[in-house]
Amino acid sequence: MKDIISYVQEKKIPLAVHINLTRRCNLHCLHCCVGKGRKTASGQAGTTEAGFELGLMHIQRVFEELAQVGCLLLTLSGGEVLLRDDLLEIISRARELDFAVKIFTNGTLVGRKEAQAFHRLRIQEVHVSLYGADAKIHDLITGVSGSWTKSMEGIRWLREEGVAVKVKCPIMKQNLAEYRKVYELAVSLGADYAFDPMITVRDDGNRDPLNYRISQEDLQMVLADPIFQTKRKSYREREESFACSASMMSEISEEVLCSAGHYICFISPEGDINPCVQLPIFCGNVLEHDFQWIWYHSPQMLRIRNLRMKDVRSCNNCRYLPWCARCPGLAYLEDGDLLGPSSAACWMVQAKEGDRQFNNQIQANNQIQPIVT
Amino acid sequence: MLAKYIARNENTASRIIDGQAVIMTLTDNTLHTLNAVGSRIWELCTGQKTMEEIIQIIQEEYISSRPDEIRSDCEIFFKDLYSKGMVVILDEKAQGNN
Ligand code: SF4
Ligand code: SF4
Repeated sequence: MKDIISYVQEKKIPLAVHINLTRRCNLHCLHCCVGKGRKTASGQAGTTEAGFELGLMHIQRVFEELAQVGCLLLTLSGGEVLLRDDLLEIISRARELDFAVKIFTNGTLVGRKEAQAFHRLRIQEVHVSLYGADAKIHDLITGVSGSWTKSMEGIRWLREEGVAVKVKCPIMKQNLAEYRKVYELAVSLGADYAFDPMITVRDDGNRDPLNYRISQEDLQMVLADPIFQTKRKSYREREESFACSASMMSEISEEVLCSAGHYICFISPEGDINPCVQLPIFCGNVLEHDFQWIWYHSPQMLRIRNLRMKDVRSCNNCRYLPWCARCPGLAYLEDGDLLGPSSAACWMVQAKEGDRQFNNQIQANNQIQPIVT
Repeated sequence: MLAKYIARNENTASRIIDGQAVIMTLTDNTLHTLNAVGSRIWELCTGQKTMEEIIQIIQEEYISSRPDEIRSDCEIFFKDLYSKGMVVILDEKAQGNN
């Protein structure tokens, strides 16, 4: 078999699927990107207090369908995924079907029992969000006093049980002075780390989180930090680029927009399918169609899949295009046009290149015309 | 050694995609792909068969190849899988009936 990513991209195999199992959360993070979403889906399972969530029976069926079409890599997230009482059962079913499973959590609900279970179930990696090296800033961002202490306890339990942990720290105005300390803390805990200055709008279009994005000057400073230089192989490699939070591999054809709908996919707590966690274009619901039909036949999925870089007309004359890690999802969410310039990507590449005039020029020329609604 | 049982390591996740095994080793986040014969051997690594039994099955299924070549290729392949932490070697047959 030739390179696996080229192969699955060519054959349209959804190798990696991200599933948000709940919108509920026990924290109230300032920058949270999880919006309210659909209040109810097609209503075949129980309705929980915070809105409809796919039940275990449906999730089991979706896992079976995913395994049949070649999915191997699952990310389970939320909301706070440990608020699902059936999480360990869900993971067990996934492991029985031989998926590699990653968990995204705030860590506050991880105790010894959960850490032991994650070890027993051979979780690939647990990503824990941490916004500061002590409680002050972290709890300010989460809005819950005592949350830093709980998250740290969770990380310690996980490490004690030998579970691989990645500390994830978005960099925003509130914790700009902290991220280096978080880096040192992560290293001291034997955890991997990832920092991300790309604060995004909510998945329902709410723009409040953008208030917390750092300034361009600060971004330039962050990008120059050696801890990013060692992590990021190059700015062009999408694997490590800040814009793309979903794709794990860089070997995606230069012609297509990105991995969304080519080998990665997203399922919401309600069972809605989008091409990517960051591209909230509804392609169908798993309670109404099987996954395979949505993935291979949904008109919206096919439309996204058929888009090519040449269709990003307004960017085609941009001198930064070769270096730009433009995310179509962010362009759609933030600027209303999947195929237009992405102010997030312009902001990033402008900081990288130190060209302060550039963003204004782009914004003045930008004709926003949503093409997918 | 070939009389021992061989099973996929629990620290792996795998999928057969178009007849070829794609394997994630969970300890180092690495994706591996196997060719058609390797994928068939991977399917047989359930802890229910010894390495010798697997070699015999492959020799029967690939009659156009020389049996001695198959044997030496399989032995190298078992060592490779083991060195990458993808399989475990067992003295006894594994529990279960797959
Ligand atoms: S939509 Fe954005 S986050 Fe998703 S795969 Fe594409 S570039 Fe990555
Ligand atoms: S998103 Fe902005 S920086 Fe990137 S190619 Fe388009 S106009 Fe240029």
